[in-house]
Amino acid sequence: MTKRASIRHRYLECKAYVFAHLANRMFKKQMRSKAATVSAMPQDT
Amino acid sequence: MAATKETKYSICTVCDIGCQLRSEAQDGKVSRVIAHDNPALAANICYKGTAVPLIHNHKDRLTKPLKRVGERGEDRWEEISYEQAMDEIAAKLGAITQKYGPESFAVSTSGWNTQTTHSLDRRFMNLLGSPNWISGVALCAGNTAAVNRLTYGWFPMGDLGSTNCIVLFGHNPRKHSWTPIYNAIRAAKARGAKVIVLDPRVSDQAEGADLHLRLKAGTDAAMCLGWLKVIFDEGLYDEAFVRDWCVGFAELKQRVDEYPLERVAQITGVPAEDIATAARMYAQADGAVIPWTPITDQQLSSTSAIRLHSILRAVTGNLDVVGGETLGGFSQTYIPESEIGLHERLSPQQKAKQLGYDDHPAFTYRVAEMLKEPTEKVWGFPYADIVMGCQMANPTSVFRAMVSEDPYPVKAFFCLGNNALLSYANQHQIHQAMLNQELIVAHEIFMTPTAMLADYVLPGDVFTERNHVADGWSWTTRLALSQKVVEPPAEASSTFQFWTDLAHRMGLGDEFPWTSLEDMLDYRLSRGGRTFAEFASETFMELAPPKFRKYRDTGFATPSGKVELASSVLGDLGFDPLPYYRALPGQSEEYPYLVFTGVREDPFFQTGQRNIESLRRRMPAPSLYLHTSDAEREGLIDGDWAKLSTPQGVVVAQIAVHETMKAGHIRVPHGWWYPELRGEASLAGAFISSDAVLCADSDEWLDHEQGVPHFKGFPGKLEKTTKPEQVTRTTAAHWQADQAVEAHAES
Repeated sequence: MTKRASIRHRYLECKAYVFAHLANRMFKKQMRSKAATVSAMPQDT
Repeated sequence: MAATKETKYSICTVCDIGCQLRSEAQDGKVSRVIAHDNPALAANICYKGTAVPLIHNHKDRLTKPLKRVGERGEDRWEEISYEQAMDEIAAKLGAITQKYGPESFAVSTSGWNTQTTHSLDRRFMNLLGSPNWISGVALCAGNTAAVNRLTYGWFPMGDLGSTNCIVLFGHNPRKHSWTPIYNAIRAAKARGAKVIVLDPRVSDQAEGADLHLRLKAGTDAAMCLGWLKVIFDEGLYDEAFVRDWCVGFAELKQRVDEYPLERVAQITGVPAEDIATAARMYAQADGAVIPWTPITDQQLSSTSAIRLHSILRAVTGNLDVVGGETLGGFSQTYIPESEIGLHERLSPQQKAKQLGYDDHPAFTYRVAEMLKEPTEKVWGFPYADIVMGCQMANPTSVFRAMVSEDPYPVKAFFCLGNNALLSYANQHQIHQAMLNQELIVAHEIFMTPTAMLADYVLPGDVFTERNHVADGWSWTTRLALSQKVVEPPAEASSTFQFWTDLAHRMGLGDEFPWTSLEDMLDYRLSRGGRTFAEFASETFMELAPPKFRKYRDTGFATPSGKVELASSVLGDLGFDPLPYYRALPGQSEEYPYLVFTGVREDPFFQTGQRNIESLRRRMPAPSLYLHTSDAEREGLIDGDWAKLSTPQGVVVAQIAVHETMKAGHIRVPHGWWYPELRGEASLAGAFISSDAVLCADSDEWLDHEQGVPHFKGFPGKLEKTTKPEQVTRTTAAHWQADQAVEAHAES
């Protein structure tokens, strides 16, 4: 592997690692906002 | 005002790919299945997904346990209570295993359909003492996982998100079949990734590929040996990785030298220069993947061909790197099925009785035991049952024993979510095998030809009726949420419930302490310190942050700790440790065509959905695909009916003439039967058009190491005939359209 390719790989590896963390946060945020919307809906009485 | 409409996250189980989407329920019924509301997942829904309410609310859903009252296969039943059914099944299974031994009990199942068994089937069987568990994954994905382990100890997942080259060996993901893979390939192409397709026909993927090699069916192993020849001769391999992390390179190189491109071109029918171009494109890409393919799984040299995919990944430096193929390992926050199955509790004596253990051991306990130590060292647990496929019995060996009672009788056969009669090779043998049983139990959502042969049929549930957290059967490192949105109808229940209730009746209750699916999910999620309720309130998906080149810390989970280009396990078992190509038995004048079967059609998954009007409308009758020149020679035109004969059997189907087919080849779709003929034709027409009738499983047609039958290129002949009298609904007009399905299919 060339030095350039090696640096690119390092970058992509970091990106993949960070992406997983950010994606997990985004999924949780989406779930929380959904729960808030549902709780604001009229419920069975 | 009462809020009766509810929307929840689901994982679709209509096919095997598990799209994440949303299910809506209104007044206790599934009313709509729609795309996920996360943009990254929103495109992952096919028209089969849209049809889910039609499937789950279908008038023919089984809802009560049935007990046979007529002759086996006569399809005459009485309704009984669930309690009575389970009591009688337990008593009969106990008597059979007492009389013939626990190994006389075999199970055939599909994890894709049942979803939430949580390996309780294996747990039950292991505690009872039976090793004879089989599944369609013996022919598709599960066997690939087992063979991959021989080379580097795990089954990798292609990093389609970062790759620069995708190689599709016959695999043809489309908008409405393997949809997430199709979308991922599209995204990769959009950012410049190259696609190489190896397929006899001009498939959808081939049409858009950068390179298309139209190889002869069943010659994947030879093609890969040709690629390696180019890669080695031109020094395109990762020398440092091979030096530091591979064993057997010199022997492999010697084997590869036996396959000069002229020879490979002759075997595959692809010009030598095209083979070389493809090999260079793959080897020189900065990150390349060869995703799993059902095509390479089902060939005479399947073990070698799958190993060659593994070897290509390794020697080109694409193993466990970004843009290449990552080795995930077990989830660190979810107890894997491998642990729940209690494989360590089955004695060595009973493991050695597993059918297939002696002759075709690659995915049996025999190999699993040989890989136990390195697997525990690298991955932390000795039995890695990836995609359910790494310690199975061999299906052909099981059916042979069911017929012949050699090497011992198999007298109880349970089929769960699995239309076994049509799902393996040599359908007539499977039929005979089932007729020779003392107890057959089916667990299904609809009556199938297999269920018609049962003594008891239990009604199964569906994905909108149960909670689940999916981990891709240890193949992925992602956890995904699927929520129950409605109750199962009447007495329908999950396979989790079936195995739990059976275990409690057979004195194994202490080992089955979970009181509900949610209780089981709590147990599995306890590894991450969460309950199911907590997980479901937190997220709909969780990704494990990837770690690359883990082998630098642990080595590989093989006996040598390295990538085994020459497999020590295969060598120790007396097989050729190096990959090879095994020539197909020659074609003859009597059977001039190469037939390839097992092909998936968009409206259906395996043998399912032929009873769903809006899906059947899109493909009302089974088709035999052939090239224009072959059709002309046979005097056939589009829409004719023809008889396709192989040395094994005969089926009848409609002719579909396509320029895209390779001349001399006939393509046969998988799993056809006619639910509408129930009561009119024996076993609802299970023998009229089923590809399993055509496929042989005699020794000359089995892969040596796994015992997988050859589905991709066996001899056949065609003859014009008339449409079978019973088959009448053969045009779209005979089947009712559904607006949502039509709109999605045409979008």
